[in-house]
Amino acid sequence: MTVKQRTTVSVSTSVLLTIGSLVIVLCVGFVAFFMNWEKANEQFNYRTKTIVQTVSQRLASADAALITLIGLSQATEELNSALLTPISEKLIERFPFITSISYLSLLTPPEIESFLAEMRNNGMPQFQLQPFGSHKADTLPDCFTKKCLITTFIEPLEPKTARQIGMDWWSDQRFRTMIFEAVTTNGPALASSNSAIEFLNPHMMLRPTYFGNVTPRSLAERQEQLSGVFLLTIDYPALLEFKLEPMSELSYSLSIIDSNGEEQNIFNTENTNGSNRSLMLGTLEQSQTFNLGNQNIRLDIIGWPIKDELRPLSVLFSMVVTAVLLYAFSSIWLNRRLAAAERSAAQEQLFQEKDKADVTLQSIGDGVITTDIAFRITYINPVAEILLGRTFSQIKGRFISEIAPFRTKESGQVVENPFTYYMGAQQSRNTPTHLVLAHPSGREISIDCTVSHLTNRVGNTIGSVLVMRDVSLESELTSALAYQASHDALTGLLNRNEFENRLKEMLESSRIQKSQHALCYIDLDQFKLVNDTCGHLAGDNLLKQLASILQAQMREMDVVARLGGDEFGVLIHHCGLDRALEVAERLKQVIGDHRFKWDEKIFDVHASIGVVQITHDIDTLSDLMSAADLACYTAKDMGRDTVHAYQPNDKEIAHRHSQMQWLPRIQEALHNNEFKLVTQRIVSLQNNTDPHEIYEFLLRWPQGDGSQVSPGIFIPAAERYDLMRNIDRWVVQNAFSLIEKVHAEYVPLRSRLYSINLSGQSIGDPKLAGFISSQLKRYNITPELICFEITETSAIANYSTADEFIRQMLTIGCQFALDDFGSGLSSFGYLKQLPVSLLKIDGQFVRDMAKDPVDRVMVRTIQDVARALKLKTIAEWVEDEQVIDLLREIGIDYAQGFHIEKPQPADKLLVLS
Amino acid sequence: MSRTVKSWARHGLSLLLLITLLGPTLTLAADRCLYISSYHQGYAWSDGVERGIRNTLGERCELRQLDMDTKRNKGDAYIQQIVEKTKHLIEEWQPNVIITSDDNAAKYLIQAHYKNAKIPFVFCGVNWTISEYGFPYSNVTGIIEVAPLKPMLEQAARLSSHSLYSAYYIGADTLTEKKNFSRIQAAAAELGITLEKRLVSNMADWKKAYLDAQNQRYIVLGSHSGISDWNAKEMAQFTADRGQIVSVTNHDWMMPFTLLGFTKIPEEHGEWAAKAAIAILDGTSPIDIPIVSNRKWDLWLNPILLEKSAIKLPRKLTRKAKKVTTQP
Repeated sequence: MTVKQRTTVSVSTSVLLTIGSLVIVLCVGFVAFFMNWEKANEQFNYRTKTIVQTVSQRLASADAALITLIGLSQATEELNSALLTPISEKLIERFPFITSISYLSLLTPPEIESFLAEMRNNGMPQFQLQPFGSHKADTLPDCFTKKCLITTFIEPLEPKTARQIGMDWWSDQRFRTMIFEAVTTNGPALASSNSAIEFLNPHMMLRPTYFGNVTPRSLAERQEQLSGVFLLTIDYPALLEFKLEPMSELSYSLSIIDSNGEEQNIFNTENTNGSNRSLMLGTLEQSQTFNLGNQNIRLDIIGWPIKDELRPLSVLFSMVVTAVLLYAFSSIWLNRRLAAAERSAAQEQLFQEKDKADVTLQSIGDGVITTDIAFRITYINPVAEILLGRTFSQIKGRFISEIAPFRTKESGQVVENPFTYYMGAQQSRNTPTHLVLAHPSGREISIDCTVSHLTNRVGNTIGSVLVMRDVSLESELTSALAYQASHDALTGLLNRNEFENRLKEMLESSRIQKSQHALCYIDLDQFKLVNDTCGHLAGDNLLKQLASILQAQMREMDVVARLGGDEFGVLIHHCGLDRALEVAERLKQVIGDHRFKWDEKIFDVHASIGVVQITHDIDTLSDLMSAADLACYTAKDMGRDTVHAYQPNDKEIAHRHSQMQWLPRIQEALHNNEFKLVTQRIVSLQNNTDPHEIYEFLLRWPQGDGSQVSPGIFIPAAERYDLMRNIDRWVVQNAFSLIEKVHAEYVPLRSRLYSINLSGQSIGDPKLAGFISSQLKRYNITPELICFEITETSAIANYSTADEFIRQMLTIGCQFALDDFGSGLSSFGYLKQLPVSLLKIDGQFVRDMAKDPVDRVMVRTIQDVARALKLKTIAEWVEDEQVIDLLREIGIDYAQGFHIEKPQPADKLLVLS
Repeated sequence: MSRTVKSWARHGLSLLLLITLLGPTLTLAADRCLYISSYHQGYAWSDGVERGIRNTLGERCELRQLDMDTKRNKGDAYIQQIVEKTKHLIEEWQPNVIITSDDNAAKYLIQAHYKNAKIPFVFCGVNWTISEYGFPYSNVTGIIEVAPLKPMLEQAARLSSHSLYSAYYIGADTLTEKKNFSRIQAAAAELGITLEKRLVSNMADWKKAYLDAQNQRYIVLGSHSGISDWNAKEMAQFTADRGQIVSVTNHDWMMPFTLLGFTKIPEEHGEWAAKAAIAILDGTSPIDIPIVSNRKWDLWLNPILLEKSAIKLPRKLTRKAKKVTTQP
């Protein structure tokens, strides 16, 4: 696993960059703030200039209003309400900061009387003059002795202002002084009353009026001609109300500076936001003085830049933008630096990886070929060079099809391009077969390949890689294993498993194509004779020779297999029964013609052949094999060296088939202990014989209905299907059990021997001796009491095993009798070799010996031979007394038969004793 | 739940209950203004006064109006009945301030029943003087209706023959007209003119008086209100056909029959009365609001009469005066 080590920036570089960036950002923020402040200051100055101009204009307008009114008074004969009201309304409407316009008439006592009369005549009988300021009403009589300055007009006439009508101003010294100053300067005068009169606006501007149409030029004349005063009340908040753009928070202060330089503050705006102002930011200030007569009015404007003007967001934005730009530049610089470092490291790592890859490719056991997208070779590793038999320099840039002929292993089909071949197999999800690569040396190499695409970063295919593995050895081993799995090691023919596979295919073919085929089941006759006589090596050689003979007789398309032991199977494709029988006969013939030589011995070999027609109506493989087996054994039963074709209604087949039906019943009877033992006594014909009597155990199979199954029926079936060993063991075990009981009850008066029949299969069972020994011990039986009867045929058929078994039994004390002597081979040569002590003469010679002289001769001859061999003889099937006499005369030692005693239930031994 | 939370919950519920209970009370506590008109709606003067009141009051208080309709119902019984009705309304509705217009309300209601009472009154449209009602009271202020007599008489004198020294006053034979005549007569006397009255009760007498006046220096026309058979269209035609001397009036509704009008402005009374009412609602005592008289008037000219007569008016007058454009 590759661990990518990321290049990092040192801490000192990071700190320096951070601090530097912070300083730059702060500087930018400060500059932006300073610029905003300066801009706010400029705007403040601009706006205050506008304000100053506006205030100046408004004050001038107020003065102009006074001048207008004065002009009007000079132009009219009588200054009355009808004249003043419209123009006053218009002036107040035009200049909202003028809250009222009054005319104060300087009246002489007669004029005062006239004024009072007029007012009272106008419906106000109680109309009176009012004092001004702090004067008391009792000073008013002065007005009737000297001049008074009475409010005779006011606009608007409202409940609030109406009380000024008839009010005397002249009585107030301060006001009077202000009027004199206005007269003196012939200009306006400002007044700010500190009177507690609630209905009077304390801020006033006035101009005097004079008698005549022209304002007197000299002061003295103006003083003499003074006729009244026009007085405006001014609303300073309204005067300082501007419809300006949002701007700095402004605070106004108005002060009147009189001719003596005394300053009187007349108005201050209230600003409730002062507490929120930052002292650090400072204030913006502007001051302007306006001249009104001999007075000045000073306007002080103090401003605090509002948040919008200072535009903190813009400052913040500039700082953020700067920070972002710095971050971006730093990131780019750092990234470039890091990228350069990482690129260098990556290149180094890449080189290392490439070296590793090269070493790996050089080291691995598989051949690796890489191509470009057009399948031109771009690289091969050393193993691939070896496999291809060419060096990289020889094939670089060439197409792989030009330099490496590939073909499929199974079909031998040429594969032009292994890349596309394997890719196609991958896409179709088929398992590609191995390819065979023709090496320039001529050697063919089985290879297993995998193909992958080479892609670039974005996933586009830029080439392919082919990994080849030399699987020649594995392929050969696999082939060998496959061969071994399907072939018989001895003969080289197909084995039973493969034969059955082929048979299945043939059966399926027959069903689908309705075609006919044939199966020949070949079983060699007397093959054991060769084995027993000359040993297994000889038998094996015989089998090899026969395999070659059979193979030679068949077509290539047909199948010859060894099914096991001395059994062969032949499958004939597309063959009717007649033709199959001809082939079988030919095979039988060639086998029969073969003379097998071994150690100077020559054997005639024969075979029994069962033939089965393979048709579509055969259900299963087992049915087919059973039919062939039946046909073959039928052929054997028919005398061996025979060909027998399976026919469903064949009697022989039916018989054989019926035997097969007994198989499960016998097994069930053994399992359920259905068999019964009977005994038939063999009596001594001579004096002083030992033993004096012999009891032969015989097997019976009683049925539920009281009948019995004849041993002649089920014994052949048991022999055919290899069940006799089990039956014999049952007999041995049950006989021993009974014998133990008998001898446990009493001691027989006469010497006694118990005889038990053993089949050829049991004699050939190498484990039988051990079984019997164990049973003798189990039932505590003296071996000398036991005699086993074997037939000549069975002994000879399993001669070597039988010889070994007999000798083992003799060793422990058991005896042997040769049963049915004279009916089989009657080979006296075997008598010399078989270590038996009793010889049972076949009953067919005994039963009629009284009538048949040949039988008497045969019995006498056998008796002579036995005597010569020191064997005792038993004559069976004795059915009358005359035969007994003859036997006794001949010298036969024992006799057995219905005349002497019919078989009795074995349990009777307990009673008889 | 903690004690603090419980306490807050209890206070919250109490506040909610208080708001629920006081909600209707607060609504009821809105200022109520009652306007009592001596006359009826449709009467030009009263409509003008009402217009001024309503425009000025706006939404300042809840305004209810009661028209005593004493112009058309002059019987004592009716007056008694309407006064009782008005009193009942005042007691039932309990207004914060009452505005009255014209003399009958001042006379029959304020003077008779609410002199120096707690409930404040603002009168307007009271002709000429308040002395006959004994104003001011502690609970009463208002604006007196005075006609621009002096300008009217001076203009009439300037435009008429200076060789004549007598003039006629023609009006309905009503108390108001008699009162007006007295005032105008006094004013004319100051200008050296003897003013004679011709107060009539029907249109024929009015015509006769008008024709008789044609040899006077000028005619002052009072109101026809009180002349039962007054036919405006006919009289307009009559005066146009027969008017040969200067005629003046203080009533704008007399302009179809008059050459020059010097008319009062009823809205001025309504506006002033409403402003005074607002000041009272704002806490000013009525006694602190001086009684004033109106001072606005307007100048009207009947061009039809001018055209049919041989009268020559100075250019400045014809330029300034409003022209009567509608005829009955």
